Amino acid sequence: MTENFNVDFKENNGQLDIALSGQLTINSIKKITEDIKSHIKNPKSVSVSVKDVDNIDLTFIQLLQSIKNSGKKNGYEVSFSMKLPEDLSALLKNAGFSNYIN
Amino acid sequence: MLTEIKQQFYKETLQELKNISSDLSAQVIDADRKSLLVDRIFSVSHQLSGTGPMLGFDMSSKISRKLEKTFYEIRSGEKEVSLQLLWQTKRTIDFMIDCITEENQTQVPQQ
Amino acid sequence: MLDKFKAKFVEESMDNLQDLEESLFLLEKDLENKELIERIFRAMHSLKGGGAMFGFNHLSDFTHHLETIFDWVRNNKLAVTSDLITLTFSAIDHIKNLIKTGDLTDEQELKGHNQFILRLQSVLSDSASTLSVHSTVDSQNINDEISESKTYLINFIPQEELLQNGTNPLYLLDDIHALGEAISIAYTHKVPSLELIDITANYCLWQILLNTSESLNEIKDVFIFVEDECELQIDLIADSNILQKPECIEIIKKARKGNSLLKIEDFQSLSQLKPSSQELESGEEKKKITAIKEHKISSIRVASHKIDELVTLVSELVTIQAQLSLYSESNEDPVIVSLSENIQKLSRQLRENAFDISLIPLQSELMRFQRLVRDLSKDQGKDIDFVIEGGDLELDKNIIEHLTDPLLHILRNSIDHGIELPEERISSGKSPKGTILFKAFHSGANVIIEVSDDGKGMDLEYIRQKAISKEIVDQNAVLTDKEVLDLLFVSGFSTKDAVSDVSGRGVGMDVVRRKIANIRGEVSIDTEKGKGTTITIRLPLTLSIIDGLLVKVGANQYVIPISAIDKIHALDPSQLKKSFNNVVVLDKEQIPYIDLRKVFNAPEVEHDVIQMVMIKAEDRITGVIVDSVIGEYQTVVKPLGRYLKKQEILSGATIMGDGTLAMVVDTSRLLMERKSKKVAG
Repeated sequence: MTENFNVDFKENNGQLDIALSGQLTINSIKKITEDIKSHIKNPKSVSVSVKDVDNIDLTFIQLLQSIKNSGKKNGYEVSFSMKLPEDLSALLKNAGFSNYIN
Repeated sequence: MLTEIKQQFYKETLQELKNISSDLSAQVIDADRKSLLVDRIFSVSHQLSGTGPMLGFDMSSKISRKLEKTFYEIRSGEKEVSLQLLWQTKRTIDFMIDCITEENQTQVPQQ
Repeated sequence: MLDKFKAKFVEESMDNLQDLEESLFLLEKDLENKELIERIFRAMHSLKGGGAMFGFNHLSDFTHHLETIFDWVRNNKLAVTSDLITLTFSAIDHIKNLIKTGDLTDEQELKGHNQFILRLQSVLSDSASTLSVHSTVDSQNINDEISESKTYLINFIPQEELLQNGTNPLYLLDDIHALGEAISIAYTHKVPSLELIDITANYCLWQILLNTSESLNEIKDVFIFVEDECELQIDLIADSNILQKPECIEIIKKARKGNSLLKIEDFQSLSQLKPSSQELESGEEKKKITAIKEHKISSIRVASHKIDELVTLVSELVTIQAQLSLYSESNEDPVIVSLSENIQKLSRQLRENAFDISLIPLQSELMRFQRLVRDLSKDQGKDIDFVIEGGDLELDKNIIEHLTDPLLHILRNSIDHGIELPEERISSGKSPKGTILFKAFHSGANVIIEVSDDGKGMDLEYIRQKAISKEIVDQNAVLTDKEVLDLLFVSGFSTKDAVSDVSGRGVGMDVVRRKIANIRGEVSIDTEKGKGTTITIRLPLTLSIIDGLLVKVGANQYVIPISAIDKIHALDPSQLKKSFNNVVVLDKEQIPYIDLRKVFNAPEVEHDVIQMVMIKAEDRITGVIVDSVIGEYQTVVKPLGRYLKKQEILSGATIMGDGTLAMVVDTSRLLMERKSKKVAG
């Protein structure tokens, strides 16, 4: 089966950039999480950017929150940027997650 | 033999679920059609929750049990059918369609 | 593989049929009960579907026709009549047959099958001519539109499994928004860090403020399919829309920032609600949630052989534990002694638990009895009310299996020979309708089952004369009423040609007693001429483990069930020597006794004191003389092999701690043996 999501990592001087796109839902979330966990070693800061999203669900929001909590615990900065199609953006807003979208 | 049974069960169930889902999308559902639909939803969920586990459709039968319970109550007059309920039913049925399709694909064919 | 499913289908169908029969009985009393009709229809529907799937084509075809009939019934196209119920009952019998044998191959049977289908079809075609279609009046519920909107606070706290069960909570929240104006607050503070997160679990919970003119039910229905997987509370907080009020926005902001949940009180200043109605509503909601929570699975189905296995294992454990306690006593190591005591306690609990599991309600067999009474009484033109008390009583399934035949036999006797025809009953001043009362209840360590009828009773003199003519008793023998009734149990008292016998009972009662004795039960009869007859069956609760008294006779050890023992007496050997006709006098009472040493051909040894175990049966005390009493012993009874079957007074054997064998004495047979010898000679 071909993956219907994409995770890219870029590391530069302790600054880790993670770019995500595609299906960001419960079906792919385990792989995404493992991927991210294996790349976050000891960064100074992590920046997550999400775009070209086909679908998104709660598991992904929880993943973002979890990265943030890990940063707090291990002392690195975490920032998000998320570009979503209108319908998904409305869905997240209605679920009380408007603070994740910009 | 078992594979045949399973395939037939899968095909019939999937078709009925799809039919129900499209019937539920209708703008207006009149009373007669509604009671018929209630029967069909109960029937298919009853069938799936009873036979599904034997044939390896674990997740979809688990979900269909929720429908079965609710529509049993509706048929026995304990519960009213609201528009919201029909809408949630459609959501659930659509999910069951995905689920049963996936379960059918991922299963290793038995003997 | 397929066979396993098939077997499961057969088993489930049998359950289904039982449910079907039960519903039919109830329907007969309440011809228009919608719920019952629905239950019947559903049972048929599952039979049809399953039958087709597992290759029971005749079954499926047949039930299809039956299902159609009940589909008409539930749609008010066909009325339930007594004839329809009778037809359905015989259809159920046919279905049972089809399940047992599978598709029919015998030509004759096939012909019968097809004729039956024609009969079913004719029910529909007959009624079609007089058909009046009631259009189902739909109670389309047009909500009493409330013009004013209300504001609710919804607490939605899903369990961790929510997402794995396929629910997408984002959709539910979206649906809430579709009901009116809403603000969701998502609480994510429970989400763990990356090292700890189970990524498919749900860690979020929500509070939603919703202003809507929809009814409370409509809101609840959003969560209809997740109600078992979440905590849900919906509280009315205002009779108007307060969402845009600055105070409200402030409250929400604070909650979002501080991750602190909103409380109803926070909105008190904003709402014009009287507190009482507010409490009422939320209280009701809470009650509903708890009711749903209690609705979880309360029973599971387990194959019966697995339970047998469990019971066997527990039995083995009890045996080993007995060995251990014997060893620990001889060893006097305090650690082992206390360990052994603990194990004894545990295994006793485990034993009780395992046996409790192996109990099944008598109810499961009662359907057959009801059918028998219904069918036989209809055949014979008798009007009989069959009353059941204590049907929920539970018994070891092995006992129930062996109980059915004797009980059917007893009931058949009651109907054939006990209950009179209506006109006969009227002329003897009784109500034309006879009653058979089936009663089951606990009595100490026993279960009692009574079957009594208000029929014509038995003629004792007739029984006596018949016994004389059959040379079972001597013409001059003086017999008490009880002894006369006991004659009914003597094998050979009644034979097949006695079926038309007007004096009534006795037909095959010897078989009944033997079968009941096989499960360590006793049968007795009480009768009053003209008033009726009661048959009483006394049964043990379980078969495989008994509390016994270990005794020694000669070189061997025997176990006497504690339940049969009244007390133990020490006798002076001289008392025995004086005794006449095996009766000793104790406390001025004459006690008959049995010397087990003689029974088991053990050498008679001189003792300073003789131990006599007093056994109580049927209100009489009988002494049993043994060489010595060793003590109480909890024992696992193993059935005796065929070679020992002849030893009727032994009901089983048990392996002792030291590996030797001890026989279990069947006290009721022992006493019977003694009595029959006396009667005979």
